[in-house]
Amino acid sequence: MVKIRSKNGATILIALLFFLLCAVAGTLVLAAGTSASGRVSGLATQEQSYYSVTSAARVIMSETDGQTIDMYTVGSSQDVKYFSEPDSELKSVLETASEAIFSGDQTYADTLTIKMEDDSINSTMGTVTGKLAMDSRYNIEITLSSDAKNSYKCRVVIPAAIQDNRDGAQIKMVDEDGNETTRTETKLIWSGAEIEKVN
Amino acid sequence: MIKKSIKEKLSNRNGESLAEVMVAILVIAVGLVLLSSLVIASSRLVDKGGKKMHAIYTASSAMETHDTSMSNEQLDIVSDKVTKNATAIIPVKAYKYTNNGLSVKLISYTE
Repeated sequence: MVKIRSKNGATILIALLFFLLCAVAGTLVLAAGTSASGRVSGLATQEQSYYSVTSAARVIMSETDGQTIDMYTVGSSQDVKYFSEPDSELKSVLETASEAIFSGDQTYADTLTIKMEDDSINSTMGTVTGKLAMDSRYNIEITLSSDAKNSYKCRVVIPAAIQDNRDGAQIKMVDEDGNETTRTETKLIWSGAEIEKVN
Repeated sequence: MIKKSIKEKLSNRNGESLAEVMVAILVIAVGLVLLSSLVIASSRLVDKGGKKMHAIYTASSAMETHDTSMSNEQLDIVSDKVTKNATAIIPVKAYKYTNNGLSVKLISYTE
């Protein structure tokens, strides 16, 4: 009875100290466990993002590196014709971009959506988006990223080189009706493509 | 005042009642059980994390050497601006590594 009625605080002080020690120890142990677990689960997603983006970059690089285009317009017509076209699955993209620059645009921008046809593979790999930019010298830069959180990013840089000194070359010619007209020609090759990491 | 009280308690030769000792043991036991279960659960978590990390590195290594299952697939590249033949369909080889036990799955492809 005396003990129960005692107002000495030593016991509760020790109990609080013990509780505090346990709480700190518990928090440290849980924090270590949770952070390790979180880091590991995010690692697999990051690895997949790396493979999705670099795979797309390699395919784009092999589809563009070494491609040539030889195009011309006749007179004041904006209709671009070809002596030779790119031999690539990305032919339409390369031609549309080149035609825009050839017609006088300073830059050309497009967005490429890259994904596998198989849905089961696609659900693991995710969709990769490529931001394509072509400058006035026909150099191409494609920045790739996936739809994963904190996605890996890389850039495919494909320099263009003018061939036979034909960058908007003006050739005077006579058409079938005997009229003098001018043919404007550009011939180029994309080569020396590189993949760079984007931070 | 507090120092004096603790000193008195330490030099006090009076014992505690059985009920008080049992309650104290109960409190300590509950505390120890909670702490030990915390340590065991966390240790399992860390162990599982280590295994998963090892599986991811194994998967990554297999992807680099293409020591995985391979299948012929098709890749679609769709342009936003191109109007004619906007979708390029490219045949690719897909390399797939799966570890079902640890839910690790990595896929890459090349032309």
